[in-house]
Amino acid sequence: MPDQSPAPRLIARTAFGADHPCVETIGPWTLTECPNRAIASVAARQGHEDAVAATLATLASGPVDLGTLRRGPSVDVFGTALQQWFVTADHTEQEHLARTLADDLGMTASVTEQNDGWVVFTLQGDGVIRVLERLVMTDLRALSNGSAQRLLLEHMNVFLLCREQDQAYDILVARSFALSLHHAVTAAMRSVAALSTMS
Amino acid sequence: MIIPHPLLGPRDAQEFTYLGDAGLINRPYWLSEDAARAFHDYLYLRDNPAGQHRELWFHEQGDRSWLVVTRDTTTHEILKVELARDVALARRGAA
Repeated sequence: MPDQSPAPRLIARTAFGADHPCVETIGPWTLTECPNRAIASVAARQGHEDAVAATLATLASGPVDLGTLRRGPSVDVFGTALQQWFVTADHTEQEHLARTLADDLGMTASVTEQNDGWVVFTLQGDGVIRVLERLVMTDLRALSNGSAQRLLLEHMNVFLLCREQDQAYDILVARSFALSLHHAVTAAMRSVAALSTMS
Repeated sequence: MIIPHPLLGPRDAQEFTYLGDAGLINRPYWLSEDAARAFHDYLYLRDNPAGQHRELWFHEQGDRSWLVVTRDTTTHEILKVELARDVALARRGAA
């Protein structure tokens, strides 16, 4: 008997419940939601710390220390804690990033898929430090290209990745905080933009 | 208050959660002869110094590491910061 069940009609939604990524441009800055990122976390198991670091260094074309972001040919890796990392990649190309990593690392590490746990935003534009300095308590002028920090943004725990200092940053936040983060960042963008229009 | 994290550099105290006396690392062995008395002391007896105090801080909004911070309770000056794992491993190595 032929399958009578209706064809699945699942539609991917962003963290905002929309079918298109959220893009917000205020003043010279743009906050863009990037739903097409695959994310996995890697934690080295006891006694295998060096082996895991070496495997990730191969993927990222160089060693990835705590607090640094390194961009490899197909994945980006950043250190989140001692012997712990996040790996991100293009979701269309590497939907099974976590499974691939788990296969590569075997019993040396614990790999957890984080695809739907986090939302990735990029915040870019000239002088974007003026916006970020209202939101996070870190020395942004000292945060050089390729830095990765986990810190507080208002009440939210985020990863702040510096792609290009004062120009482009990635912000990773728990998916359920997407609206709050959007609110916080756009409010700061609006305030700083308003300051520059005052005579 | 700024806590100089041994791995991450200076971080605001707002990112941390305070647990208490660093003596909590030295948990008594539960099968020892005097376990009941040792646990009583471990749970209830604390020094309350006006001056240098070693205490545990958890970097909850950062890299989730536990730190042993030596702080002067009268001035809030931070004199030394170590990773709690290093302190615990050194203690295990010495025992």
